[in-house]
Amino acid sequence: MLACSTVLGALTLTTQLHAQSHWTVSFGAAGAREIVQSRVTAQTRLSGSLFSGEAVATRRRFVARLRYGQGHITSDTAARDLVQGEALVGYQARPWLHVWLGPRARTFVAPGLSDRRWLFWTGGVSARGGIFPGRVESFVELWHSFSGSLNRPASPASGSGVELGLEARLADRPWWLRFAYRIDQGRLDDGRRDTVEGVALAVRYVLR
Amino acid sequence: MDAQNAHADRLMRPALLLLAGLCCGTLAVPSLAAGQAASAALTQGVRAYDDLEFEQAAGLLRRALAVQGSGALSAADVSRALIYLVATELLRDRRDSARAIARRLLVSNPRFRPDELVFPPQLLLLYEVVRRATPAVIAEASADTAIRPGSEAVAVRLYASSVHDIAATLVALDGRVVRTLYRGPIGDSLTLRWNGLESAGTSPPPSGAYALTVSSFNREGRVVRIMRMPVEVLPGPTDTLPHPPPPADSVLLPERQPMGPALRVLAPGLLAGVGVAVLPGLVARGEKPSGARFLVGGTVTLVGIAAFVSHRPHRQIPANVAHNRVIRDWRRTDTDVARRNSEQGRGLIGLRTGAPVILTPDGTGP
Repeated sequence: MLACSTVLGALTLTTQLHAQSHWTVSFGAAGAREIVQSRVTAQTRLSGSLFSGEAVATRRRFVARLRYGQGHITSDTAARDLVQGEALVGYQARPWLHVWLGPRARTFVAPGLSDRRWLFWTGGVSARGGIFPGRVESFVELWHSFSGSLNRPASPASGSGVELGLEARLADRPWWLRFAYRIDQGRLDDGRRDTVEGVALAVRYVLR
Repeated sequence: MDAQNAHADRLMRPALLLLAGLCCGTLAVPSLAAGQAASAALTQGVRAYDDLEFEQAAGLLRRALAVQGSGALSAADVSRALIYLVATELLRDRRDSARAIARRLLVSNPRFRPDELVFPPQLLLLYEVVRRATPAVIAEASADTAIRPGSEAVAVRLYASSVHDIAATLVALDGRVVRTLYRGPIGDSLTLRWNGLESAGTSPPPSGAYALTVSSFNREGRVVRIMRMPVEVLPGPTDTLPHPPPPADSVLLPERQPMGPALRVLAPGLLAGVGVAVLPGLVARGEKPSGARFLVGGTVTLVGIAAFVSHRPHRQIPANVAHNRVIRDWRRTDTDVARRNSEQGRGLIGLRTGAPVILTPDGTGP
């Protein structure tokens, strides 16, 4: 609920920012097929869907990005809700290169159990290349954690991830489609880990 | 007070403009009047001569001859004024003055002969006597020409006041004789020919300023007159054929689609495809990523290949081929014209002549 409020607040804020000049704001929504391989308490493999939204605000070389998503994953024997989000700030070091900093979090909610939440403070880079310049671009984003934690069992954690795919702009319209593959992993020093990968299809609208 | 000043300014402005106009007119009128006055004085002098008003005719003719600068008489009118003045002085019984003026006329225009239908026989006789005693030569040549030294020659036509001996030489400005062209008698006229070579007869003189001098000798063999005509020797003309006009844009364009842009659009697709294969294994250690990633990676790679193919590297660009053909044709024609001009201009020298002047050395005469 808090996360929903945060995203709504962010959307309101970015809209207001766009009303001022020099800001470019975009909103997006995505649906993804997720596969989770968990080796924390027991070795399980779950899959399901995740729906998410994002807001991106850009002013000159600086970018702020908020993403929030939640979904449901199941296996033959277990079911969990999955909630994840990130709040990043970025800097456009080159026209094709961004550097990102900020927290990323993921929570697994299982009935009858307390939530298992991964929280990472991360740094990353993303690169873009025009395939059909201005129309179709490929992108890749890599991140790694500076520090992190897992709440159950309480332990310091580390994490890293990658997302790559394709973005295509609908002809002469401010709509972009994204087809992406994403995988990231949170792990403890003793080898226990959660790995989440997914293939997502997203749409993004850019306010101009 | 301000209103009064303004009123005064309004009154003064037209007055100042009028004054400025009068000043300009005052400055311009005399020069116009002088030009008209010289020819008018000549006309009036001739009329006075015809009316046998010799005193008045002499005054008017001298006034006409005295005008200098832009308003001066033309060469033909000077000759006309002088011969009328000779006749006037002769009829005023001033024979010495008439002879001196006739000599002046001969020196300025050796070809001049008085009209036998206009002037009395005594003038014709006096002029003939003076002409025989006043050797002088004038030259005519084309102002600008080119010759091939040795095989071609430039012609200079000499006209003499009377039969006498002359020596014609081409000299450098420092007095060095470049070529002796003629030495001997001249009757009415003579054509000098110079083949463009120095005295040694092997090469043309270096480009530069020279002078054709024709010395007139009296019966004692003394130089009594020197006609000097500036001659400039120039490098041979090279551009006798006009070059074709260049096209508006003379920069060659690539005739085939370059490989670079195609590779630039292929690279992101290929790199993303490779990244999909490699990066998940590095990020998710200990796990085997699913094959779903190849769906995305394959899509990106295929789109990259499609972009590469759409650029059609090394495919011919017809518009640029046509553009380049025009430029190449122009360059070929231009080079051909330059080559032909060079061949035609090889060995040629240019010659430019100036207006001749006749000098009378001090202590010689008449």
